[in-house]
Amino acid sequence: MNKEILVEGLTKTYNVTTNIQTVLDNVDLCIYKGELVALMGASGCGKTTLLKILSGMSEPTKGDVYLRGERVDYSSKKKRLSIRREIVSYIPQTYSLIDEKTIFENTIISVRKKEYKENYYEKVYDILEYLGLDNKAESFPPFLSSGEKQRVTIARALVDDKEIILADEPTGSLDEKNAQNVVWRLKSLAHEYGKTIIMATHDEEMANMCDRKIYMSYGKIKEEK
Amino acid sequence: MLGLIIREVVFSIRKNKILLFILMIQLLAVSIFFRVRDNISFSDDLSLPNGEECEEATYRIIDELVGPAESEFFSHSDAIMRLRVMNNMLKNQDNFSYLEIYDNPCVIISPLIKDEMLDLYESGDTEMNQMIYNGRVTNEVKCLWVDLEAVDYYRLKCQKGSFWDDGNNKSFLPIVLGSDYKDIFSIGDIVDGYSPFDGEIKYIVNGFLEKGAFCMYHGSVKNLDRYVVAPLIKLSNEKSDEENDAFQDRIYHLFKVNGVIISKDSLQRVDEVIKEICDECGITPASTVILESDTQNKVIEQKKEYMGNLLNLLIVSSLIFSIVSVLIFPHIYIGRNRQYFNILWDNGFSLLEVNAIVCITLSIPLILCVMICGKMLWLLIILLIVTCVELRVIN
Repeated sequence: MNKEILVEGLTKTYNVTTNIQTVLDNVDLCIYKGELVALMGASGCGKTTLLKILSGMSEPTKGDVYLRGERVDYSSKKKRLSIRREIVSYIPQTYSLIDEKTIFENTIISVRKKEYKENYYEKVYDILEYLGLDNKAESFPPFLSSGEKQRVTIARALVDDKEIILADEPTGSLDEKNAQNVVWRLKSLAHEYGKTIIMATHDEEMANMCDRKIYMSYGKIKEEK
Repeated sequence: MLGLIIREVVFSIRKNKILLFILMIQLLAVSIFFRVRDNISFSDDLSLPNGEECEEATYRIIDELVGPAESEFFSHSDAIMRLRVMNNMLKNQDNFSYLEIYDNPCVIISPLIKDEMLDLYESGDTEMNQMIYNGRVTNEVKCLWVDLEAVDYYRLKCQKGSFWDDGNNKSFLPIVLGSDYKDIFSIGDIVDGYSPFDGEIKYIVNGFLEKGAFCMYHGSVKNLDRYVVAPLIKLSNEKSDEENDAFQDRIYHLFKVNGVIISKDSLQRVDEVIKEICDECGITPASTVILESDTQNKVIEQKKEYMGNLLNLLIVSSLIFSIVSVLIFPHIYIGRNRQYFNILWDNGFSLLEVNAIVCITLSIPLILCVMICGKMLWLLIILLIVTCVELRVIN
């Protein structure tokens, strides 16, 4: 199996006044293609920091990250941005939807790829249909359930057709039914479309639906199941 | 990124339904203002003086010498003489001024005459005004026959050359041309043509009117740019006994008694005077006087123009308001929306790009606004000045 994400000795520290705070401590990780991995741990254990480093929003203090076999160069902002532009889709904790835009418009809000000029609308509608949102395309976010809103953010991540999806607690604000629905969609994305997905969560039940669970504690990988 | 910017601009305009509503209202208002402006009409009654004394008004004389009445009148051997006496009496009245003015086409022989100058251009029958006679193009063009009193009264001025004077030679009929003729003729040109009083004739171009010269004639403003202004003078012998000349004499003298009267008297009083003159001259049925009230018409025209300009101001203001509303305000929303920043940032847009998108989506409409509104503001200022001047004139 292809090692889609490989993390070796990743360390992230912050200088808080005179104290050095270690958020990630020598993390090693390997995620394979088509896998849905749950990143578990209590709040403040470093899940979000890890995802932010993997998506290029933040740079590590030490260690290496390999995405799709290539070592990530964190030396410049431009190179870090190219991670999110080309390889990684990031789904934030909050819905990040603009209430005044329709679901369709929210989905395509950040699209800039030229290839979407051809069959552009069909592709977007296919994605919305896949996520069960096709009949909501012209609706506005305030009229959607929280589960549907989260699925819109997933749709936005899929529109760019990137191979790796990093979801930061996508089920955090959802009820059980909606949360299960979202995880089920992510799982089918991984298995049917070969997307590699890391989902940060602290919900054991949701994590059980994933292919693998990685537990983090105080910036370290504690256990993998 | 350009596509994204365009998408955002279109979105922000489309999504602001209240602003779109305002725009619709404004456009509706603008179209109503336009319609009202184009149809400002004042009742004719407004121009009728009711009292015995009124401000100086203009009255029009229309003879009733048509059909059997005409035949009966001209069966008298001294008919022309009677008309001549009537003309003299009209000119020598103490209680009113009499202006000889008559709108009737004349013929100019030239291949250079434009269709707009032809008498029937407005009715679309220009082919009736143009014919080739003896291999030469004859054109029946708009012509205003006037005496110098009428020229003075209507303040007609030449931009080049001058009007004729009473001592003009009798070989050529001096004419002053509207400004549209400038490209065709020059001062001093001798132009072949026909006049209704003299038949074949040679005109001499004495001058050109100022651009936009006009006069009130039979209740409407007549723009003289395409007109020939000719003196109501008969070059040939006025006492000719030949039948053809006699007919031309009739026309000439009828023109001379169908002018306008400037008086401070009421319609009834002027009508009485005209009837007295007609009775004295033995012209029956008596001529009829119809009130035109040029002076009042001028005021009404000024008021119309003033109202029109006021409406123009409303139109321009509405458009400025609409454009500012629709183009600027929606973009403030984009600039203030943090979610928008976050989404773009999460999807690999750099801070520079995000800022550029927001700045451009804001600045494009702003630039458009400045360009359009700047032009409109300039128009607004001009309109304001014109309106103020007109208001002062009216007052």
